[in-house]
Amino acid sequence: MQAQRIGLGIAVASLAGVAVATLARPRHSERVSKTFTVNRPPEQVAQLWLDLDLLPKVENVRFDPAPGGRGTEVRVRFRPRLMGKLRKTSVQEQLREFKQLAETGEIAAGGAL
Amino acid sequence: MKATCWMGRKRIEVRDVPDPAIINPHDAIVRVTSTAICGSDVHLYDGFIPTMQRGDVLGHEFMGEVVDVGPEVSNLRVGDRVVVPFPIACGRCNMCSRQLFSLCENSNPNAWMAEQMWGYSPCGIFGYSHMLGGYPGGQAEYARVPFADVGPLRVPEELTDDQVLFLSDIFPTGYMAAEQCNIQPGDVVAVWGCGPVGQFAIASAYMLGAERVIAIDRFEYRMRIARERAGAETINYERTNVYEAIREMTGGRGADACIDAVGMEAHAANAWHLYDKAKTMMMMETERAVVVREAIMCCRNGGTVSIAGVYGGFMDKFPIGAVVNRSLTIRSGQTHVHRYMRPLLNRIQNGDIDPSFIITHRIPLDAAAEGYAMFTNKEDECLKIVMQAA
Repeated sequence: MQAQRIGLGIAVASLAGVAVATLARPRHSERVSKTFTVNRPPEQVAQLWLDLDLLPKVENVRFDPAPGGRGTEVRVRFRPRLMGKLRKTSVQEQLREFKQLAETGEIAAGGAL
Repeated sequence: MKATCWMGRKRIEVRDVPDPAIINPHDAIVRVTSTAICGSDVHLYDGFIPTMQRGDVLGHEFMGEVVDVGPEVSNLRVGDRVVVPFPIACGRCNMCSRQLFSLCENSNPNAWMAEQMWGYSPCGIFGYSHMLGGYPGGQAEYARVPFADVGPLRVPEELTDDQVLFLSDIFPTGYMAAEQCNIQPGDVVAVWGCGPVGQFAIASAYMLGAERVIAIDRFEYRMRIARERAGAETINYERTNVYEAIREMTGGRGADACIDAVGMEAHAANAWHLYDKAKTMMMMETERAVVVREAIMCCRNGGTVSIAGVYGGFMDKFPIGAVVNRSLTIRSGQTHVHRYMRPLLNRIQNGDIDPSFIITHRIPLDAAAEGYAMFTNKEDECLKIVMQAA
């Protein structure tokens, strides 16, 4: 009986720990920011962003000159979703593809894993 | 077409695979005339590099004839004879603009994998794991070459494949290893490893003004080539204490610069080797670090340690105290091959060096599996294998 109580106590404590850890994680509805640098002037990057329209659901995008004239710092803010194109990893990869298109005019194609 | 495929640890097969095609506007297709097995291919063969898949086409040292070009490739024509650099570089990003081609920001489609491992991603590389792009390599009859407007170098007809093939990797790699040493008149340079990169590092150190080059290895035939063809003095680490020998040979100062041309599968004739081997087998480190440790300890105060050998993960017992307290400079990097191809081609044309001196074996592509085994096991005094597809 004593052992059962101890086992139950451990199980409850574990569940509570998982619940706290889950609540402490950033929620998917919170805005997150991603930033990257494109080696082209801000006005060109901004125009290309409009033309390509890769991420229309991104709430906010900024184009700032990178220090030393080294292109444009692009910052996007968005509310990540669990599915679809606004997943964090999906946005990251789409931004990477935007950078590739902006700088080279093509998306690198090697082999998927 | 026929291609050399990685089928698992120590398993190479020449298989029929689909012919490559133009995918992007800056692509070209090259019919491979000569290709070589690189020392870093041995790390793939031995299973040290993660994210390989069965069937991956190997090879990052190759040259050949252009047989097709994409619409945005204006500098090459069908029929051109080219050497292809192993790093794939777009030529337009911030890193390429700084001539740091092996750090191209746009050529690795699987950059996220490399970012997990290393923080940021380097460039994509032919035939060198999916973490570095998953690009099919050039140990095949044909290869697709991305950003062909930036990478491939047209070579003159009067030079043979053997003379220019190594511009694709190992000659620039040995040269960059020596260049990183900032060699001054009177300098003594020590080079660990008398493999192909080590041979070119020795030769390059002399080209850049070194007074003496000391090469360290254990295979007599490789040290003989280092002495006779590259001009080095040699130390056999199985018979001689390397630290004591270099101290003696440099009047007690230590080498002005030390080059690691060995990398992650280093071997030593002491307890350190057993220590590293045990730890790598238990997955407690990924590199056998005996050479880089020894290079650091043998370098003079204020000297430079240049790392050309490939490392991929994490090593143990790195002597950071020696680096900091003795003001050592460590320089490294995958070779920015594009930067060196033309100047080194000029050196070949001027007769400063004939890189073909390292070739010991020529085999058909069909014999790639035997070639990998021979090269890895250093059978038949093998130093460098060139394969012909036709």
